[in-house]
Amino acid sequence: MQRRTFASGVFLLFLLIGLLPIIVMVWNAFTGLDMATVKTLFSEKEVSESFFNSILLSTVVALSTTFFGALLGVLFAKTDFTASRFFLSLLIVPLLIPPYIIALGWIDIVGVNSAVSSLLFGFGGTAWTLFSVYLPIPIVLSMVFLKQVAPNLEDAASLYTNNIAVLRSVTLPLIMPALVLSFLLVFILTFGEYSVANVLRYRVFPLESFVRFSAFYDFKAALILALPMLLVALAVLTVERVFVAKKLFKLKEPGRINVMRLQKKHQIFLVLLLGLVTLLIVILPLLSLFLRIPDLATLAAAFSKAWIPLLHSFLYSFSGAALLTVFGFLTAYIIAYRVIPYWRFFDASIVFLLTLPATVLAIGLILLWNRPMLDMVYASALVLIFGYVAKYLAVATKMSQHRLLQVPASMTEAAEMSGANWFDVLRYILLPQSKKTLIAVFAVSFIFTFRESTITMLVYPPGYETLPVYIVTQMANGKPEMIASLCAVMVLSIVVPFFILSRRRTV
Amino acid sequence: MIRLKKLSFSYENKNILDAIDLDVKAGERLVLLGGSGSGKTTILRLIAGFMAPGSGEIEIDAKLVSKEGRVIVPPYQRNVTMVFQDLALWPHMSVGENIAFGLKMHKIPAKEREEKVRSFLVLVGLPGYENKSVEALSGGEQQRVALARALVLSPKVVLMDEPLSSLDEALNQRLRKEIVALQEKLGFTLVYVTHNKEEAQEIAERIVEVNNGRIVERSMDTLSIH
Repeated sequence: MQRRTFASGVFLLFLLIGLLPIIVMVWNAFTGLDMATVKTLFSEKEVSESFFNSILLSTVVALSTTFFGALLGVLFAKTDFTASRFFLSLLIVPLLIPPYIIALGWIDIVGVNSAVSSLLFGFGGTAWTLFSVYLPIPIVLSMVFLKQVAPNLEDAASLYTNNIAVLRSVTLPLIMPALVLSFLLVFILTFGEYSVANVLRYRVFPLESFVRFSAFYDFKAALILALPMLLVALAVLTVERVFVAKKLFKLKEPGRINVMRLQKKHQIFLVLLLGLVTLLIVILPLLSLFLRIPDLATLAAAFSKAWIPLLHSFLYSFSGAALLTVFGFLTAYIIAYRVIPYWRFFDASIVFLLTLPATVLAIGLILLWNRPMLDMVYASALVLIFGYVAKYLAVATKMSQHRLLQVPASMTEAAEMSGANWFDVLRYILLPQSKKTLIAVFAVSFIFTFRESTITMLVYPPGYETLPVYIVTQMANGKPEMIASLCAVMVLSIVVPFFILSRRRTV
Repeated sequence: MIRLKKLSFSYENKNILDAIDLDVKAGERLVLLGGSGSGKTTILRLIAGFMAPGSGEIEIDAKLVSKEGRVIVPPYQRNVTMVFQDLALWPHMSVGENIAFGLKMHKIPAKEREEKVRSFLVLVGLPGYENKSVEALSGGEQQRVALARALVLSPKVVLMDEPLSSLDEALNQRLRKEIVALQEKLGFTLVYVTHNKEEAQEIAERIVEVNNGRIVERSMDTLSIH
């Protein structure tokens, strides 16, 4: 098969899984659109207020996580801080689990009617919870980029000034696109997230569309309210294309890194400081939730109730991660090697779907696949897996693409000169060299799909619920100790394998 | 000017430098000649202060700057600059900003910085290049920017780590002459690293051969070029 034909096939599959739901959604929103309805809808005080709330919340969370994430990234990647690995592992935990679990932990600590509950319920509590959930993103992104800054660029500057000034004037400006990327990612993830706001009773925009769709069955209003989210996603994509994609400097492959030495007194101070931070954003809410479990029997009872949703979670996440790994690698190949003339559009589209709030994508999936003749997809787990692939394809692709771009062109050219066709090059040269990256892609995709609840909540067919969705449904009238036990099952089933695997990788 | 006393350095249990002694006089053009892995770049990095020697001492201008596992004087206080093999031009800064960086760190006023940048760009044959992006320059032009950046602070010592290795032969030969002319004009001490004997002979007043972490003083005449 010709390379371009194969690539076009991959693109068509993406079109079907990812873009078509959005096209159908926009089409439905505009068909028979009555301007008076639009006006009435957007003039509602709650709607405009929730939009403003969402923008404010996303900006505050994105700014604060990027600032503190960059500082922690520098500490973990550019100094000899001895407890880096320990604190990084702890700080990553909130990203591995559904965000509302951290919020539930805080409710457990503060209480619903205590003197300080007004601080938790509303903007402050929501921003604080989402800060702890998304902080690992800028930490990890800045660490990855900091480790790729060519040490000679820093050495050259250290001939003129001290380490801190080198960091400020050379190292950080070189990773600025990564910081902008962190800001955008956290901004859009916060903008699309509603489970924490829902639990902490803060009115955010995605809830408007969600409630109209799932509670009032007012599909038209839900579709119209999804449009501003589409516009925000497009705006974020434009900023990403203009300020990030074109401004990434050609850094080097990971190798020698310049590391700053910390004095013993600074090491001790930082251990105490980070200990306090970790206690406040990770340990306290989770510990409080776990302490709510009275005995092992309650935990066992929760497990016996939740084992089928847990099995579903594992099955769908495994399938979704496997598909994302293969699809992401092929997409990365098509984009990195510019196999099709519209590779830029392909690239922008996958990023667009990542930036699109999950509610919008879920509505699109329902509109496209909810037809009697398409029951094979809509009434099965396929619709969930399609949703996961559409949402997270950009993550899988970018990780694979980064690796493919590091393979020297001479390697593939040498293979071609030896008589290898494009598929042989892919199979025998590029794939073996991407093996470790693909394992990482699978692991990251698994985590993202396992913790996902927004798409799943809206599109799961009866009998196909996952554990995060099961917990949400129990939250309405379940006993607090049972909900805490279910959260513990959720946390343990993802965090324990994560730590075992990450330890095995580092041994 | 520069004195290395019984200098040793090892990395991952492998001896890179083995108790070398070396004196470089003020205003001298010394070339360190050797194959890859011989230890010549390590000597430059130790003089610059990027790392500490395992044992031995380094003096610059009769001042102890490094000693047995310690960098006593940090790189930016040694009055030493360097032209790197990959040039290490900062891609997020313009040509002018690259050259002016050291001046800015030394708190030279903006107006004076601009004048200095302009005059050094003229000196290296790139007048009017201040606002260009370093990534848009040719290899030869980037080389000249790296030279200007190293010279603008009027350092006492300039270290050059195979700075011409990535250039074509014609440009390489032209720039060798320009480096010698600049050194004679500005009078700094030059420690130049190369593996190319012809390049060494053209640049050097004195050549020291580095081989498996040891050094051998070579007379200019005993070097056979081919």
